[in-house]
Amino acid sequence: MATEPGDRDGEQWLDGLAGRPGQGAAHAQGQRLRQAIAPAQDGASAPPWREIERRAAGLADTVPGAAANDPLWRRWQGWAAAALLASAVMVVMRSVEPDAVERGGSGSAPTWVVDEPRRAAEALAGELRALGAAVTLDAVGDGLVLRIRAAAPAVEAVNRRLQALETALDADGTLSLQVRGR
Amino acid sequence: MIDPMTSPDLRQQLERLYGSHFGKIAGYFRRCGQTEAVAHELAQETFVNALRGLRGFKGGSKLSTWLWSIAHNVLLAHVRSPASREPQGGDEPVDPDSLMSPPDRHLSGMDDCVRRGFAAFAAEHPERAQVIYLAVVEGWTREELASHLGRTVHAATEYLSQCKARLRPYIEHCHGD
Repeated sequence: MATEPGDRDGEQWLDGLAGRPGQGAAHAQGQRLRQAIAPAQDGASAPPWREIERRAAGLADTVPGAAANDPLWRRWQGWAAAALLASAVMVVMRSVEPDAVERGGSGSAPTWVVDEPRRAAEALAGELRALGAAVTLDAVGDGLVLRIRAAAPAVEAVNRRLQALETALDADGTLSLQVRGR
Repeated sequence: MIDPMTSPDLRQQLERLYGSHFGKIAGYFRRCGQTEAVAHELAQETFVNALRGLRGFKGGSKLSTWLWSIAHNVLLAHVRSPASREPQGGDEPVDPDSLMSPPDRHLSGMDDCVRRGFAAFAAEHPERAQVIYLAVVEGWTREELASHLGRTVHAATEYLSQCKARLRPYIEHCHGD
């Protein structure tokens, strides 16, 4: 098949994008674009693969596949929904006071009540990761849960950050922090 | 849920891709205008979804190609979620410079200008943006591009030329010096 002028231009551009040698204006344009959008070598550091496996497996607790048709499971779902609703009502009632932005939970996971849960949770997750913690974000109901895990070297710094939220890592270096909207 | 019937080979392949592609995929989300923290989270979500759905991979393409399609879906789901929606009107054309938030104003240079333009382009043309990004990070040939798009080599080259033409208005002012 003969190469047409438009083809040559596109091929030169592709060569420039892909980092292959070449010449011509289209190649130079591709090279410039490559230089701007190629990811940095020191880019995002990945959490351990185990973390991905754990998160993938974690879904089994909330979306149990075939077990979803089990009447007993459905009954549990009903109870869980009722419990979630009750805790949501409690959170709303507790957040009526002005300045009730941060709350340490007295029962299960501590709850952080904010105006924009996702934005706040992502920002906090980013901060904690920068301090060396492994953090995952899971949507639960209308809020999110940050699952935080830190190894010994990072525990002190992570706890210092969490102190502002009046909470801390457990003895095993983990914490589940609920983030909910007001 | 991780499928216990998933081939250990496939899981090992995916784990290897995790090592080689996490940064590329996080970079993709970053170049599509997401913050560093969100890009990191979406990259994790991509691999979590891939691991959960690994049994659905039929081997009709490379595992990395399949992974990129998951990344694309993760991005689309994220930008369509209410939490990530910008309050600006959706039908108006995007001015690349309008995406430059005040903290970014100190950024200078052609690369930063091109990155902002590319992010604006990605918001309007996410599929074309991914093709361009993949050409960069995967070093595609025309044949590989055609395979990814499921088109003939000629049609794929034409598609690429269209990508180039559509991207131009977003970045041409960056080279105005």
